Amino acid sequence: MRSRVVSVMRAKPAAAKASDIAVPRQSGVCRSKKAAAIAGTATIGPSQIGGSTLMAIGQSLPGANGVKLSVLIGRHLRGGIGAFAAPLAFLSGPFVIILVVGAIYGRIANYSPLHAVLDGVAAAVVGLTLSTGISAVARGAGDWLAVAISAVTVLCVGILGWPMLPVILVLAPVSIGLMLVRARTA
Amino acid sequence: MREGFAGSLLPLFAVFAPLSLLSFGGSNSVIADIAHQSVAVQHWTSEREFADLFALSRAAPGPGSMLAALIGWKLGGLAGALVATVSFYGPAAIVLYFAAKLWGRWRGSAWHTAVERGMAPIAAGLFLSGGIAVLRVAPAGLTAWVAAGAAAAALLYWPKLHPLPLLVVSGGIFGLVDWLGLVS
Repeated sequence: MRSRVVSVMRAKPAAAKASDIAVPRQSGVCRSKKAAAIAGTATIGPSQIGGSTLMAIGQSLPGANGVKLSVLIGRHLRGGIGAFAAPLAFLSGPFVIILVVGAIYGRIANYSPLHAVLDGVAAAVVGLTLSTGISAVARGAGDWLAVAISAVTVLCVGILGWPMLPVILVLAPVSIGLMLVRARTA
Repeated sequence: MREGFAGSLLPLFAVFAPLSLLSFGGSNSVIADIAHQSVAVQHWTSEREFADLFALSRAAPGPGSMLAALIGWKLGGLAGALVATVSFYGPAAIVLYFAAKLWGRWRGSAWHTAVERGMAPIAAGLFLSGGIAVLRVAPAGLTAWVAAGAAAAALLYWPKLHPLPLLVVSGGIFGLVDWLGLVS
């Protein structure tokens, strides 16, 4: 039992690696955990899980990247129980922290300078998200089809403000179909 | 505010569970819908509160998607936070659990490659949409657009820049400008 806990615990820091693979710039914690992920996961090794399986999952299956990797690592080590325990461990710390942050916010929300500071933080976070999106589009800049699909997505969801579900239900098959057709004809 | 299960917990599940299955490329891709649902559709938060909770969720350690937990907490306390978090992470985790093995096996096939290539630009578009959606509800208005543009430009120009100091500097500048009364 003990070794089971230890190996699941050991899997936990490796989950941070997921964010580094799929999303280049996540918030600070993921980055600082990167070294720990490489150093602390002798049982599996990031290349074994993070390298092949996660890259295969990449962006084509939904989910938060850290949670996705912790499910994969948990399952790899301990099957169903592991797949349940690893994301639970991965999320429990941040969950407690965010509740404390939320409770503090609830107490001082009436203090108006706080809102100005948070406006600034929110703007920088948006900048971070935008830069991730821009570099993802730029990576495929030579591919006019990929750029066009990104542009249509931004138009529908970002500018027109349409709900994501119908947009993705239409765009995903179209995009995948076009990529398939192009691969066949190339 | 706490109206029991049907009052606040069920809508939390109804909003976050589908978004879980739409979060291609990571949870950042559904920020646009979370913003839209929280402010305009469900009226869970004011624009002011949404900007605050969004900033807090990303400045605190852990996945930025803890925004779901914060919104849940605001609506239904601990139960709300738990329901929102499980709804937001659970469905995608279950799909992954069952799909990962098959997915790995199909790797290299023509349609597998097409799915990867087809979903990547959609994910990139959703990231950009999320940024735009948050700016549209941000109470700081034009100032927020300028600051976000500057932050994005800085991160693109210096890719190794750690984002945390950027958040601190931006928050500091906004706070200072407000404190000095430079913008009424």
